[in-house]
Amino acid sequence: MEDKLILGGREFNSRFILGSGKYNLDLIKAAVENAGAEIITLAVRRANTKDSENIMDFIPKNVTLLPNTSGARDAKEAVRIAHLSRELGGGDFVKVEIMKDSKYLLPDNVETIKATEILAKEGFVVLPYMYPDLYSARDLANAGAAAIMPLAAPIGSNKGLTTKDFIQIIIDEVDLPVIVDAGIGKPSEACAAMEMGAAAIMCNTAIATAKDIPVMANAFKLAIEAGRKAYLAGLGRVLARGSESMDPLTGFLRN
Amino acid sequence: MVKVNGVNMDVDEQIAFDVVSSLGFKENTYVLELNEEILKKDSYKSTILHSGDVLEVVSFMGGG
Repeated sequence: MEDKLILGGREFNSRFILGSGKYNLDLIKAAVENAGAEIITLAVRRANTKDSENIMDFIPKNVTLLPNTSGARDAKEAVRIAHLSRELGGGDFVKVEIMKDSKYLLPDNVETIKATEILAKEGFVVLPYMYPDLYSARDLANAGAAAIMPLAAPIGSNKGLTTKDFIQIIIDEVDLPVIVDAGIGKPSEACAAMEMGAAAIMCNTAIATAKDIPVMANAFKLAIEAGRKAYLAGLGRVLARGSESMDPLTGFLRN
Repeated sequence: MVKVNGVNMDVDEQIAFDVVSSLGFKENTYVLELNEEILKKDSYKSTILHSGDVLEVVSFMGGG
């Protein structure tokens, strides 16, 4: 059975979007390979001459780049960063990420909707990172988003699916791929999000802060695949109370 | 004075590409933004910096 993730008209076999932050460049290739990832996120920053190596040399060429607009505090700055990323050769995918608050790093949905509309009109494939709110998700869909990226928990926290119920509402109500982003700390949580019907998982810190980065990347890959299969299979029902034997009750013992 | 990545530099009337190269940035690893406008790559060697200009040298880095 063919089961592809489709974003902006492009097909992907992997449902694991890998972040490239917080770890050594020489581990990126191993992480991508072990993750089986076909999409990797990047940030756009002031260049630094102290970094003698260029991250682009470490990313396998067949991987689709998903530059983010982190650092942007409003829609205007996000659009500016998106333009720079395209000029840098980042392609037409962009993860809109706008945060006014530097303590909790929560995304600003209102500015994110504005930036999504502008960038989608310019032809970008826009994947907005957002606080899981149904109305904002609908506005993002109307603004031309290619997917919705609700957060599971504060970014970098590894706290897991703390917004589970609200992500489920978006999955159920919005007709776009929902990519759970930020806060996923364990493979079991990635699996749970996929069982809920998430289209993909975006993960960085859980892998970057693991003791063995390539092995953890692989653990996430397997968990995401398992969760996807479980979703496609349709989970078994849960009894509200009582029990139900799987075995034919052996009546002859009672006679 | 020209502000290059936030630092004031005495490089008035110099060519953008020369200034950036002298700072150690390697060609094809960055994009230049002059006064919040992206410079086309083929103009790096013909763009002259003037006093008051703000030049940003940006590149990709790891991020989530």
